[in-house]
Amino acid sequence: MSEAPPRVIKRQVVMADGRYLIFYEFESAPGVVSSDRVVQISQITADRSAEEN
Amino acid sequence: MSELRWNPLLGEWVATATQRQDRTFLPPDDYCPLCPTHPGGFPTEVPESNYDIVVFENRFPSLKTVPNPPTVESSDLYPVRPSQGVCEVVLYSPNHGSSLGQEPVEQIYKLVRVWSDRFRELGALDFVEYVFIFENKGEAIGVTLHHPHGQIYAYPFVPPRIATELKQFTHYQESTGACLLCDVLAEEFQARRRIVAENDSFAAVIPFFARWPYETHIYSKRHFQAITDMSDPEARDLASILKTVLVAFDELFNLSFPYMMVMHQRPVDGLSYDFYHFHVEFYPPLRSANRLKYLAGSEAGAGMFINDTLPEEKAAELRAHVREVVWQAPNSEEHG
Repeated sequence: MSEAPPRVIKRQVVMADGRYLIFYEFESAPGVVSSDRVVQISQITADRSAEEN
Repeated sequence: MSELRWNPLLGEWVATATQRQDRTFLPPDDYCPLCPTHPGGFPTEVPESNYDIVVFENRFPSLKTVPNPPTVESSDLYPVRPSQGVCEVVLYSPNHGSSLGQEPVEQIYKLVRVWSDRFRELGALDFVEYVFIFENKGEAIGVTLHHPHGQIYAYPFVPPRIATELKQFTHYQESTGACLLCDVLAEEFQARRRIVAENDSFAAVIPFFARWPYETHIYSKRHFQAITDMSDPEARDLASILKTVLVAFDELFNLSFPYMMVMHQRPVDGLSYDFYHFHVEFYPPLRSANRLKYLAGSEAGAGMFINDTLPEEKAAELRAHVREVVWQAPNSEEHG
């Protein structure tokens, strides 16, 4: 229980109807966005543990 | 159509959200909109074949970042305002048949990290005054989708129940100089009869004043105001005690226990709430394996709950189902 917090990869996409959707992934590479309903992609990779604590 | 209408009798806002009448209602498992989109399958809300934890804007929101103008005119007696805010859905797992209590504690810990990030991000929006993290679980609560998920509402005001708590905390601190919940926790540790479980950072208690038979509160032992104030060990301890409580719930009647889970934190309106104390509350509607506690006349009409049970006895029942939470080694974890 004393290991470092896992790195958070936060990947945000904007759907065709304008809503956002955020993938939270931990200690792994992000997957591939394959749907044509995604019209815009932004990727935010951050280890927020320092900020959180 | 959505707007906020003022109730002058109670001094609180009510949201109209007529579009929610059309939301998806208990679809077959094969057409769950919260599952990943499988190759060749129908497009769900999540345009990938797998995910870990996902957050997205609710398709049927009662509050919107850019709301439509109200459909009725405001008056002195009946103020009306746009229903500005944010409604998010949080998918706990890609596994349709799972539940928060069935997820590994490592996954619950990840969820705690996500909740923290959402609290920070939504709390930074200038039109948001309160970030409310919650889950409705089970048809007994009225859920329309079984896939394990929770919700977050970012309100443009401090909601009434939180406002009442803040007022009580304020009065208590002004009269005693102490934190109300710190003193409640001290009293519970002295009595011990209502404590269900504890770890280094949290205690799970059926409170002295429980309104529901199995109402369970999780109180942080350290005095802080929001999920973003937690250290990483505290985040892990929160995941552990959530797992403990949820497993005990499910084992109690050997069924997937319905509940409302709500997180009470400080507002995000820029004011100081150092007197407040973070906690999580569960309101399970069952009073036995096949009987529900209803909100009837006294509860709904007068605001006075009648609990047909004793918290001390219900805490003992739940304590009998407390199991040790085992964390997997960091590199042996498989999920999703």
